[in-house]
Formats: sequence, structure tokens, C-alpha cells
Amino acid sequence: MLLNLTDLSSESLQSQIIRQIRAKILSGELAAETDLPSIREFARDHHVSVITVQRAYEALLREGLIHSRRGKGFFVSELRENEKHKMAKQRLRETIAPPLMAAAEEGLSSKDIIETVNLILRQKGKKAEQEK
Amino acid sequence: MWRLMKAELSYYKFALLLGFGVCVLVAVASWIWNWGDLNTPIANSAFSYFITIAIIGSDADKEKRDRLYSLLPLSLREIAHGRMLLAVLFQISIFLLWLIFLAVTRESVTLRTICNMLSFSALTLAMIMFFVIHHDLGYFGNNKRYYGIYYGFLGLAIVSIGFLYYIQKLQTVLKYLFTTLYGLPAGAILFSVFALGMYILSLRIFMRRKSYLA
Amino acid sequence: MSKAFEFKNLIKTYPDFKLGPLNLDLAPGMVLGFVGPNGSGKSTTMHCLAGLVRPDSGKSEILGREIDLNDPAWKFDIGYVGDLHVFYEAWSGEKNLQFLAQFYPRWSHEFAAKLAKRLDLPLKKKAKELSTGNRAKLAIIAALAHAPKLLILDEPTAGLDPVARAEFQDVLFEMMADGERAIFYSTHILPEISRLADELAFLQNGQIVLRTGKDDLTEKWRKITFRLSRNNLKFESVVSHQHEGNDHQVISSDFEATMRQLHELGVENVQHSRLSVDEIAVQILKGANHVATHES
Repeated sequence: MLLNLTDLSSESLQSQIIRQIRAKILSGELAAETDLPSIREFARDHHVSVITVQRAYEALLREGLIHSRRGKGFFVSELRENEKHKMAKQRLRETIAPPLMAAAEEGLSSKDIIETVNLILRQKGKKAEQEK
Repeated sequence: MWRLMKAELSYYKFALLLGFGVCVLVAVASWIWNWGDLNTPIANSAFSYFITIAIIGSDADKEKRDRLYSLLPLSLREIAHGRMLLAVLFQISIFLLWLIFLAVTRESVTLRTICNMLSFSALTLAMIMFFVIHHDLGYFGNNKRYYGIYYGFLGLAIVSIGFLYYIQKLQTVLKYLFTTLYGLPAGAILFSVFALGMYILSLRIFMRRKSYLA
Repeated sequence: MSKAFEFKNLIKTYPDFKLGPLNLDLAPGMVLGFVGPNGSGKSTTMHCLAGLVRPDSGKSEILGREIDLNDPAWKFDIGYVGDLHVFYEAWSGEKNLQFLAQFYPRWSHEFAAKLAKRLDLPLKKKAKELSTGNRAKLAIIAALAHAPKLLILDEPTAGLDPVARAEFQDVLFEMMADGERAIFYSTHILPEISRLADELAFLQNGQIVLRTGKDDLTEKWRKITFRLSRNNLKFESVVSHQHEGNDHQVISSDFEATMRQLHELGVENVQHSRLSVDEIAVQILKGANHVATHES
């Protein structure tokens, strides 16, 4: 599993690990029952401390995205589509709140904000079309 | 400790061979040119011995050999022995050189001669130990006790010498110690015991040091 | 399993400095970063662990064995890179390593050779001809080649070029992967341990002022800027405070606590950013609750 971890982000390493693994699971890139590297292997491969990985895995365990089997390690959990959907939506709410608030403070109205969001989504759609 | 001795032997082989070579030269020269009796080559080789050991010792000190050894998985006792073994080995080899010298020159080998050689070897080793102890005493930090004992003994020695000088017996005593007693079996044994005592003392002091940082 | 090392009430007194009483331990499989200003006693602590200095009092144990200078069994399991590197100067690096190899049953010549290659150390050169950086590399190889269970590293990368430093980091991460080793790492260059360390201990004037998980620090400390028209307020968990008019900047050691208070106060324009381990360390060592106000 290849992740992109950096010290230069405003996000802690632990958060980066959690977010990127979550993204891979929710998008289906990591299928159910795929085994994850052991904590120590992960630490060695990505140059992070063992405790950081441990806490990231624990967070993912709490979210129900992964589960562990004694002596066998960590595995991606089986999630129903609507569960994944719910999680992704929750994540969106959490991540989008700060920039939305900032935009509001800068004087944009709800209408402006929704217009901008739609513009962005349309552009993603166009890009997907072009790539096909 | 033998590994330490072997390493030192290998590391300083040039200096040791040179020192030993000078001893051989002195012995041969004194015989060819009749410099004096047997005591002359023995006494003169002492210079070469001291200078060699002093150079080696000061080089080892500069390279912080004590620290290198102290980091090894060896007990302090082994390290303490290991430090000394080279000087002892060198001394033994010079002793053997004298024996060979005697055999070759077919000088009469009396008990007195052997006792002289033993006493001399013992005293030179004791001297080396003295310098080592003096060096090690610098690593006791604030502990004044060892300094006290050391300077106490030194003071006692100086006072005794001064006293003897005062009562004009110094000459006699020195003559007795270093000519008469020297050549007697009792003297050889006495000086050997003294050297052994100094050796054990140097071990003890090394093992009680507070730091091995240099 | 016994601790990698443990100090109980360690004391070492010098004429102008006292270390301790120090209580410090490290579990196997963990990396402990040791941070402190010059002269705080870091090297002395490590000297005590390596058997170079005899403490005045206190108990010291390595892997469950007491540090006894007369019974050196504990030394087989430690690898020490010190503040000073000692070698047989007229011998080559290779010869020095061969000398050391005789004393360690677990020494691996292949591993030593591999390390030398990775760190780019010319093994045939005499020790006295090596640059500072290369001497450090030799010291590192000498400390690691016998696969020790506890690595005691006292600023090991001093003098190393960036490439060698990165390789050394790689080696350390690899060594930690089996979960049986522990590293006690003192350094001024905090980015070196900002990823590797599981825990950090801060030493100042011979005393440990803080022992904490590294992630706890990086998760909890934040730099927060906000606007507030009130002045002369004391903010919770804030170690430094600057303001220009109504614009404030604080460094907080407990992000959540400070944010709660700021929300109650109704501050505006709140922005926050994380701090590097470096920045956090400076704040800790400068002294907690240090308040600096800049008016302009």
C-alpha cells in the first residue's frame, strides 16, 4: 500500500494516514478482506513511528473501516454501500465546514457558495468525460 | 585481556621492535667496546625500555585508549590487565635478551647476576606502574581520599629521604638498597613483591575510577 | 519483557552541575528522543548508560541486567555512538572493525560491509585520515554491526552529509521493524527524530521537565491567531502570546482547551496551524507559561 505522507502538510501524519486509508476503503480501491501491512511494517516502509501507525489503525478500527484478527493482523472490513455512502457524506461535512465558513465571513451568500460548488462539480464531470 | 595485548602488540610493533633493537645494539656495543661490567648494558637498555614504553603510553593516552577499551564488553579487571600486559611482555623479552647476551658472551653467570637482573626488572616495572597510577588518579573526580593517600605516601617518601639525608645516612641506605640488597635473593624477592604490589594497586585504582571518558 | 533500560534516581554530581535525580525508562520496541539544550546533561546520561561514567547513586539497568562494570554481560546488547569517537587512529576503518568484531559473538561482517557501502565509507582509509563525517559513519557501523537490542545514540549524525543521514534513518527504521530493539536518541536536529520517535523526553539543567508521547505533542500544540477586542486576558494552556492591536497570536499546548475558551469569548477570524516538533521543543525548553507581548 503506497501512501503519500508529508511533514509539510497542515495535517498531522496520523491524520494523513487515517484519511488516505479511509479514502482507499470507501472508494473501493482496497477491497473487503484485503490485508493491511502490520504496524511495524508500515512504520518501516513509510518512516513513521510505531505509535503513530498504532493510533491511526486504532482510529480506523473505531470507525469500523478495518478489523483485526488475533495473530493474523488487520483487514479491511466489509461495508455495505449505504454505510460507505454515509461515511463519505459525514467526512464531506467535516472537511467542507471550515472553507464554507471562511467564505461566508468573506461576504459570500449561500447562493454564491452553492453556485461555486456546482461549477466545481461540473468541471470534474467534464474532465471525466474527456478522460473517457 | 589477551586480545587487548595482541592488538597493542600489533599496533605498536614498529616502536617495540625499534626499542628492542636499541637494547640489542647497546648490549652488543658494550660487549665489543668493553664499556663496563654486565650492569652497563642492563642499565642502558633501561633507557630504551622506558622511552619506548613512555612513547607508547603517551600515544595510547592521546588516542584515548582507555575509553576505547571501556566501551568493549569486558570487565574492568580484564581491561586493567590488558593495559599492563604489553609492558610486562616487553620487560620479559628484555630479560630474555640479557640471558641470551650472557650465554653468548659466556660471562660468568652468578646468583648475584640473576638477582641483579630480577631486581632491576621488578623496579622498572614498578616505576611504570607508578606513572600509570599517577595518570589514573586524575579520574576520581571530587574524591579526595585517593589523592590524600597518594600524596601522603609521596610525602612520606620525601620526608624519609630528607631525614636520611639529614642524618647523613642517605648515601649508606641507597648504597645498601641498590647494590647489596639488589644482588641478594632476598632483595630480588623483595623488589619483586614490591612490583607485584604496585601491579595490584594499579589494577585496583583503575577499577575504581569514576570515569573512563579519556 | 524487561525494559530496554531503566534509571531509578540516577545522580551524578560535578563541581558546577548536577544530573538527576533522574527517573527514565524505555520499553523494548520503542524509540525515545532525548532533547535538551547544551550542557543539560544529555551526554552525561548516555555516558552512564554506556558504562563510561560511574554515577554517584541510583539504580541503572539495561534489559533487566544491572549496569555492573565488573560484569559486562549487558554490554553485548548495546550499541553506543558517543559524543566522541575513539579508534586505533593508525589503523584502517576495516582493521578497527575487525578488532571490535572479536569481542561480539553476534557481529556480522556482511552487515558491517553493507552498512559501509550504504553510508559510503571508505574502509581502507586510516581512521586518522577520515573526515568528521566519515568518523561518525565508522562509529555508527561499529555500534550497529553486532545487532544490539538497545541503541544509545548521542547526536550520531553530527558531521554527516544529507545523503548519509537519510541512509542512516533508513537503517534505523529497518532495525526497528522486528519490534525487539529500542533506540535512545539524543539530538539537536529535531527533524531527525520527528518521525522516528515514539516518545520524547526533555532535559533541562539535569532534570527531566517533560516526558511525553511524540504524537501527543504534535496533536495538542497549535499556533492560533484570532481577533479579540479585549486585552489583558489570560488564555488557557497558552505558553506564548503576542498581539498587535486586536490581532492576537498564541501558542497553545492544549488545542482543545484553548479553543473552548476562545469560543466562549466569541473571538473572530480564528485560524490555527500545527507546530513542528522543533518549534514545540523550543517552547518547552524556554519554559512553560512564558508570556511575551509585542505591542506596536
